[in-house]
Amino acid sequence: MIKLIEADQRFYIKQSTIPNAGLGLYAKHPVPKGSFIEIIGVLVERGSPADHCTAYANNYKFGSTQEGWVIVPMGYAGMINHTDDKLIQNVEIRHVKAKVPMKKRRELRDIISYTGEAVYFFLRDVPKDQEILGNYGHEWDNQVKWMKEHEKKYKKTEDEWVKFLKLGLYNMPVLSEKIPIELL
Amino acid sequence: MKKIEIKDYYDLETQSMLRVLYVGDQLFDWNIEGTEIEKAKRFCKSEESRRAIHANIQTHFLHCFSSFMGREVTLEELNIAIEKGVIND
Repeated sequence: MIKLIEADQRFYIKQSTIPNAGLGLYAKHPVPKGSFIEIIGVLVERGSPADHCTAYANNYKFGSTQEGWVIVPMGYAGMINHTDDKLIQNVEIRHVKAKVPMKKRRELRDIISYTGEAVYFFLRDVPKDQEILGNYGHEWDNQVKWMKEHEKKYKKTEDEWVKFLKLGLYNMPVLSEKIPIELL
Repeated sequence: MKKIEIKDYYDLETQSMLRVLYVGDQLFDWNIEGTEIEKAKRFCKSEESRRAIHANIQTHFLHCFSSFMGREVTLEELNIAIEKGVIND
């Protein structure tokens, strides 16, 4: 068993400003441009039993610099939400080997650890209490577009669909139970 | 016009009883696997995404049923047909 502690003291978690995104990450103190927050977690090999057993986190896994491996995030970086708006995006993912001077490491040793696998790099100064927002990239953008298109379609046919679901055909009762929908 | 009915059917694969559609004497053999529903459930973080999943399943169902019937069938037409017990060929 591994004990993992997110020791970065610069952030806190609160309801996100992004609609329907759940919780988000915020700056506890001003964070200067050029800083970074390491994406801490565990590496699992794509397609391995560990990858399958962490399927619950598939929407949150990050690519790694190591070919064929992904990061299952377990710290604050995993709480950073996505935005398409470049004006409010304040971090971006970079796969870098974090090169930190020894003096800085000693100063921050109880706050931040550096392994240099992947980080969120701060693109601008972030004031205290501002939400940290990144961009998950092309795949996520596509997923969001897909969702919006389908949700639009759902709204047009909701009454008939609900009527159809009530017939209890095929595995629809399981669908209604596992993925319940609120009537519009 | 053909008869359209809901009948109970024992699915050997899942070893469970399902309520299924018959048009004439032909079974409309369709289903959505429990594992696929579980996968979709993990994607659902919001009401928006849940509705999107439902819309996606609806599209898939209607696409398959329309292929089965040999023509496009809307959900509204299907619901009315099931109520009346008959559907246009």
